[in-house]
Amino acid sequence: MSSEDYGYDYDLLFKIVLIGDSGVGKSNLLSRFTKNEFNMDSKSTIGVEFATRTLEIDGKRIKAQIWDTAGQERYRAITSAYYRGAVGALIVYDISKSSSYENCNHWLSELREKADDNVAVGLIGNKSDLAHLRAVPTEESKTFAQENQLLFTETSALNSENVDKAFEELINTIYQKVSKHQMDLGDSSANGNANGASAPNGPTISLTPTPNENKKANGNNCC
Amino acid sequence: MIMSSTMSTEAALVPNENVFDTVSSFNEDDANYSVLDLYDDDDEGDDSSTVERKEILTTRELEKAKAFTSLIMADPENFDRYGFSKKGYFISQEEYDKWWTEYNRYTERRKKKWENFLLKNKIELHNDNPLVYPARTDELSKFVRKGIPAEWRGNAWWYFAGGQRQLDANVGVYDRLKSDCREGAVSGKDMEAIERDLYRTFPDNIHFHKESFQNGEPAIIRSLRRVLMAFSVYDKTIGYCQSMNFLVGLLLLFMEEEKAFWMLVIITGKYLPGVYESDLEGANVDQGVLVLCIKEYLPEIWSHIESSYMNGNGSTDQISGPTSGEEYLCRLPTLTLCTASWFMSCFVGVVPIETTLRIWDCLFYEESHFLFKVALGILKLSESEFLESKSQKLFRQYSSYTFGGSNDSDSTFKRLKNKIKTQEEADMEILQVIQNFPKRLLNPNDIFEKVLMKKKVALNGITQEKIDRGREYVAMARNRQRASSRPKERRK
Repeated sequence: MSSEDYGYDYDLLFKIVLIGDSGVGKSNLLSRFTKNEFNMDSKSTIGVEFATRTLEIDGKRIKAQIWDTAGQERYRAITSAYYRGAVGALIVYDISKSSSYENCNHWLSELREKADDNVAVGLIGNKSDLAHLRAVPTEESKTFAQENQLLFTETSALNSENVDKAFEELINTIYQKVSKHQMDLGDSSANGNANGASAPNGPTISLTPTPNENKKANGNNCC
Repeated sequence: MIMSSTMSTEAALVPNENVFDTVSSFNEDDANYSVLDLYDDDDEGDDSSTVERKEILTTRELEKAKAFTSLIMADPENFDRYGFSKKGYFISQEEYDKWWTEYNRYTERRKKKWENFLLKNKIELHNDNPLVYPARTDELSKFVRKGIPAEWRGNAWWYFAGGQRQLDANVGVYDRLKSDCREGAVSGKDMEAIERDLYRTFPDNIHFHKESFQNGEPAIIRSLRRVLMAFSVYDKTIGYCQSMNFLVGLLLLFMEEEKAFWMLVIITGKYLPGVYESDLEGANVDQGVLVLCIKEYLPEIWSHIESSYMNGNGSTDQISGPTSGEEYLCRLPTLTLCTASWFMSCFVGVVPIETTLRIWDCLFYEESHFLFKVALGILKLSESEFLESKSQKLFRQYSSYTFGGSNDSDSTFKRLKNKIKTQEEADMEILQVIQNFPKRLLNPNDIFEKVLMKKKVALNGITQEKIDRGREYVAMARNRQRASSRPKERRK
């Protein structure tokens, strides 16, 4: 059971957060990706839940820890710690519900404000199986994603379409960022500290804020 | 009302015909409903838009039918006496059945003792159900802590929470609210959020499940809608907050709609003040109080939290000004991401159902400080599990090196540094334990007998008065810190 896996059989650990309006399918994307499960009527998520899945890139084992939270607006007030340490984020909307797409702008600014500047971001149009009810044209989202430098995929947690692809693309992007960051810092050792910070660091999470970034982030996050 | 007062302990509630024999026109996927439709119980029609939509949604409907079939399997043995699926992600049916055989004997024994206790106090049963209880004594409190008989719960909760007083002071209010709802008093935003959550409340409970071959909605879903909508009109500062669906959903399994409504008023107003309001500040305050309790009662966990503030996760000197020692009340530690929902849902869905119900027995008898006790009890029980987690061990070794003044040239230190995970990773793994541990608390007595009812356990020091004082203190500290950090926020 992946969610029970406290082991150390991985080289890198990436924290990825799912955000987006209530009811767009965040929890089902999570369960599809980590457990290959889908529930037609899944419980509304309150608080925060997460699960993990380990993938291999370039011979490195990468443990992706995916976080899921309540979509209702007011829950932002208790989830400021949600973004701490996240290196990737997926903004999810429902292709059959235009308001959930329109709110992506809002979710993007929330992310820019609260998460690390280097966080890799993907836009996901979920419920692609509801083609007949499509309210958000693919091209429009594609343009929005390009303008904001986001990855973009349409997925269906119900029939699995593109779910793995969406997560894998994001994880790949994070991996590239991490590797590049390490090279930029001239630190080629496997155990190198990708962000150059002196904080205790294993061969793992990179992109964590440097002390300076930390201060800035703290100022913003307070309450 | 599903659990009738005449029901015997063993009589399974499943399937209850009353729950499934109703018909309404409302389709959950149909966005073009009117408020009136929602409240029209007698409408049997199936409008054309619903039919159309049905065709479109074939895949989803099929999936739903499949899910339902696998859920029912025509075997009520798969469900507990409240209609919940016995099997869960963390618990197999075999485990459940094995535990239940034992626990059922316990509940029967307890019921006998209750009956004797009530007899001794000259309280009569009406249809096997007491309408009043003896005066509050340590003895009564002990009885409540050991569990109220399931078929008495609705009345008992209502009695202990003072529901009747609320109702008597507000005769006719609920009916008026319902009619306000029919006339469009519910805000569009609340209505949308409520509609979305109705079927996402207890998908694992047979009474909340819509059969794919029926157009009608289960009666309990319609009650849930009415209560939540009425409440959103009754208390506009709260409106609808996700997690209230779980509270009302569970109440409705034990009492009628109007009573469930007033119980929600009591929970949101008296037990968890400010918790559901639009800024959820009450939830943050309660998490601050919980952290203070951890500091006092669970030093091992506290030392982990504290070190996370010393290792760059927090910045002790940046934001806090004069009260820097209490930064954690403002920038709440990561574990509160998990624990906040424990309080908001009063443990519904956090722990298995029988454990939830035992907690609710005490919540209505002892008020909100009991939720803090349970949270600390769970943390205490899971403590050993997460302290053993490898990274935590290594992290602690590492911490002792850094704080002990060791330097980088120390080879042991270097070796450790390569092995250990960051504080954030340690946090994540602890969170994973805290998230999953309570879901396996199938047997209520694992927490009640081992922690909560122990005579000489430090947690007994937590009283309602202490929690109330804590809430005041944390609210003030958070206000202060917010005021002092504001200029810095503007800087960006």
